[in-house]
Amino acid sequence: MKLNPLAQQFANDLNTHISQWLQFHPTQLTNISIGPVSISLQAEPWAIELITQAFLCINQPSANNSHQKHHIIIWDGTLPNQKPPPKPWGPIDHEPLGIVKSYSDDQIRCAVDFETNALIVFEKTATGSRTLIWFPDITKLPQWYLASPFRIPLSWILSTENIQMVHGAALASPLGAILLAGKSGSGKSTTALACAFERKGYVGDDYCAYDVNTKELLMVYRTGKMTAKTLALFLNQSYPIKNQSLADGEKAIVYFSDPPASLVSRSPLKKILLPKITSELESQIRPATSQDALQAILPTTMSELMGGSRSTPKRLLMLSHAAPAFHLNLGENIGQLVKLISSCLDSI
Amino acid sequence: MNFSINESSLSHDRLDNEVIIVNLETGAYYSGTGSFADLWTLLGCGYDLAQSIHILALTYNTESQSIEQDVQECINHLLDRSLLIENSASPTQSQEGNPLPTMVRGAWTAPTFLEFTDMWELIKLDPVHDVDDSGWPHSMPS
Repeated sequence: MKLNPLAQQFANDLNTHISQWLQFHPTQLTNISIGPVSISLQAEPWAIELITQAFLCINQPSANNSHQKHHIIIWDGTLPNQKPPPKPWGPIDHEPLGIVKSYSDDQIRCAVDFETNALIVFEKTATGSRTLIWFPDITKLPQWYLASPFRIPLSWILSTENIQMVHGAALASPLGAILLAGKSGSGKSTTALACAFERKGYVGDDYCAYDVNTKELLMVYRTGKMTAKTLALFLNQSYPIKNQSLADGEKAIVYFSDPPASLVSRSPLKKILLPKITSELESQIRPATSQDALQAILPTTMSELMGGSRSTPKRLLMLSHAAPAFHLNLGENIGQLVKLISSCLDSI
Repeated sequence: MNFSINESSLSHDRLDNEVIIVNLETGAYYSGTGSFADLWTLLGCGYDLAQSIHILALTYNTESQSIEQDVQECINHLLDRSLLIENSASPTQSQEGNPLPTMVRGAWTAPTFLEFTDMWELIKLDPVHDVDDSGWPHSMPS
């Protein structure tokens, strides 16, 4: 393992800073689960409530499980004494993706999240991992972030368990799951939400995770995000939707619960669908290759996850070979699309 | 001639008939199947140019001479993209045996790979990645 003294020193300084901060601020521990992985989140109680609402499996730690393998500590900078130590790196050292290479090594990753200006310091430990996340102001995090929080550190944590976060939507039946993969705007979220609103098994609309060990798709977030256009399609459904006013850059959010939705926390991967918008009326499914699947999954997943980790390409390659792939040519008729996907789920 | 994979910048893997190579510094990625996957496997195992051509010829049931140019051209492309590094020193130890996986192979075709260079560009998209007016569906369902 190659260690970088700069990374080690910064992580030590930050750990010292956090230890002192924890002595004077009451925090709460909450466990979240993604498939087989349990992660403890530690933050001030008001922050915990805000940042855990997107997760399906949340539980208060008991005496038996207060210390998980993976631990995330979150704090924010609304008070002067809550700021992290000054960043020792230059103003553009975290470009182009957010990783600060000069302060990272095989054990530690320092990163700046462009979307929230959060500082993320992830450290592999002897038993799991420890992640420190500082937000400038948690109360000002946009709704779309609260609907899918901690995407980057979660991807690193899951990676240590041979689980790959995937930029893709997923649906499931009792027989297994289908992954909808493609870059943003390909129609995967709308497809997944249209089916979820019809009580088809929902695993996620934008991110899910693939467990290489069990070949299962895992739910990461129980949320769905909608643009104004997508929202207009689903206004008549009965689920409560947050943020319908859709300020600039925002999305409407639906927090699914079961019931009335049918939420699936894990399901074996059986098919990969590669949606593509067409001007046809009816949607169609036709065969694709594993190379098509890889091309649809890899670039967008890696770019959304700050480049992923060194093992991300291998896991995505395994994912693309794990199930047959099909092109999903999306037509205008949403009702017919839902029937097509239902039929696909039933014929797994 | 002896080459080695530029391990410090790359993540690469083979699964069945397919190889994927990601340049973690530039965000470019490369994908290839068949003879390319076999050539990459041989180079990754430390076989030099002559040894690689010999094994590929045996594997694809053809003559070394007939594939030499194809292999050299592919290696040139890999060198151009810094996926391979040319080593000045000769290998200290000659590789032996055939490390290629046993599988059904067709006739020899020149090793080629697909190159995708837009991966890091995607991150410049709006994080909530709104779809513009040309997005789908184009109209409300009736």
